[in-house]
Amino acid sequence: MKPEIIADSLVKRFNDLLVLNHVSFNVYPGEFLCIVGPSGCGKSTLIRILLGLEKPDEGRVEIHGHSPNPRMCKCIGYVPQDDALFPWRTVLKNVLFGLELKNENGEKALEKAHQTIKMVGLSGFENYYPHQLSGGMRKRVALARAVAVDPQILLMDEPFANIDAQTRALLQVELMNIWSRLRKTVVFVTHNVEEAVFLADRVLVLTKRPAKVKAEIPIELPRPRKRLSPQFISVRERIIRMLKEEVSI
Amino acid sequence: MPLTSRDLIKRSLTVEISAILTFLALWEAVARFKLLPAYALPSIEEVVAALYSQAALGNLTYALPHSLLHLALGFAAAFAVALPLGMAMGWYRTAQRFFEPLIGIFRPIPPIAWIPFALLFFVSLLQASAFIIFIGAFFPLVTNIFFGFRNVPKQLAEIAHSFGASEREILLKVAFPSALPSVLTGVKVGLGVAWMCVVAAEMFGAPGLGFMIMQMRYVHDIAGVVAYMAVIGALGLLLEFLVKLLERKLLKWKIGLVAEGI
Repeated sequence: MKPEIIADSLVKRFNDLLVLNHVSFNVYPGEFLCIVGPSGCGKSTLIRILLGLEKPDEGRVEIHGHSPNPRMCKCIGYVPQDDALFPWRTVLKNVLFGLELKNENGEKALEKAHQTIKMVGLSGFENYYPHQLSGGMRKRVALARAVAVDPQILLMDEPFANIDAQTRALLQVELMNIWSRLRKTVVFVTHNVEEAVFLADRVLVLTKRPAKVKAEIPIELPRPRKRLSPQFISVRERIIRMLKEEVSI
Repeated sequence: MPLTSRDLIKRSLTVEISAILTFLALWEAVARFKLLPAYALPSIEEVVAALYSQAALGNLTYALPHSLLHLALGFAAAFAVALPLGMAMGWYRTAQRFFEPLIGIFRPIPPIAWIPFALLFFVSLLQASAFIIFIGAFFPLVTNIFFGFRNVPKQLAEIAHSFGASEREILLKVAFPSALPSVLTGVKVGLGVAWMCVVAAEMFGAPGLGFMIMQMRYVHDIAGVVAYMAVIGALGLLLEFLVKLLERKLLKWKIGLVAEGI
């Protein structure tokens, strides 16, 4: 199968600080890839390079055969670390944002937005402003906003950070449901190993900064995954051990 | 839930009204017991009588629209210049570096100091007084608009970028709404300062409330002076109230705007 995203030997420095040290990986169509690594290892930088918000100093990225350029390739949905909702827009208007930029207006766009809002379970909240919503609801809106334009690829940068454990587990289950319906290619950055094992087809483990790919671990457990099954725990522990090596060195 | 503009009007104003009544009672006491000489502080009764006679003579109804016209012209011109300038300075670093020193030099010059220049440069008194008001309104407007566009959250611009937005679209759909609260603060402060400049703007002969204050002074009618001062104060309060209504209408999305009182 042809990869949808190719990251080839990416190097990124901020002044003298080497952040990415020849990071390479592929992402295949429909795959759910999680990237885990110690905090501060450059995971977010990696996502920003895929988005075209940062340029790599060396190496290259190819998405559908092109280098990332939001102007050319409107096929990416982005869910940032803080939900970054537009505070002056209601839930509905936030979800419509991407459609407006694609000049999709009127009944069809509205229909699409309502469908997406329903899918993330926020029907009835269309006219609420972000500051009237809970943290978990805001995350759902951010996801809906990214998905509404029907991108082929979803880039998610620790989207469920700063959310209480219960809500987080619920959001993970919902994300799995949505993903199995839409079959997008997902690159999901997290520092939460359980989250990665619960979600991913494949987990990419990064070393501490400067980041290299330490291991690629396919997760072949059937879905929906049981967090307390012995296989789940054994994969989780294996990855946690790898990360511990990084932190303790 | 945020208060709507209707709630604001309906809300009981007991505390606010007692403040004004307390002030009036103190004033009346000082005037009645002659704690200050009568030529320095007229009683409320004398001021009301002066106000009434000025209205009956037609002076008040002549002066008022002139002052409002000066305000409207000066403020509109200031907004028309400050908006693009503040936007450019907030959005482009070079524009900021170019204009900041100029603004730094001109801002400390009080509007009154511009009067001789205004009289030389402008043919009509109308233009000259509008110019003085322009000076008063311009600096609060431009600094607040600049601040608003400088502080557009980067993450929001990046979201728009990830959807393939052009720079023009980012400016229109992200920067402008994000800067709107600061723009409105600029309008509120700028309008207040502009109104304060009305007296200065009409000192040199353009008809209006400021001009009438000077006239009353020349004829030693202190009650008349205070009457026009009271009109200026009351109208200033009304203007601020109108801007606050506008703010509430446009910024109902904003958290904490209406948390505790106005």
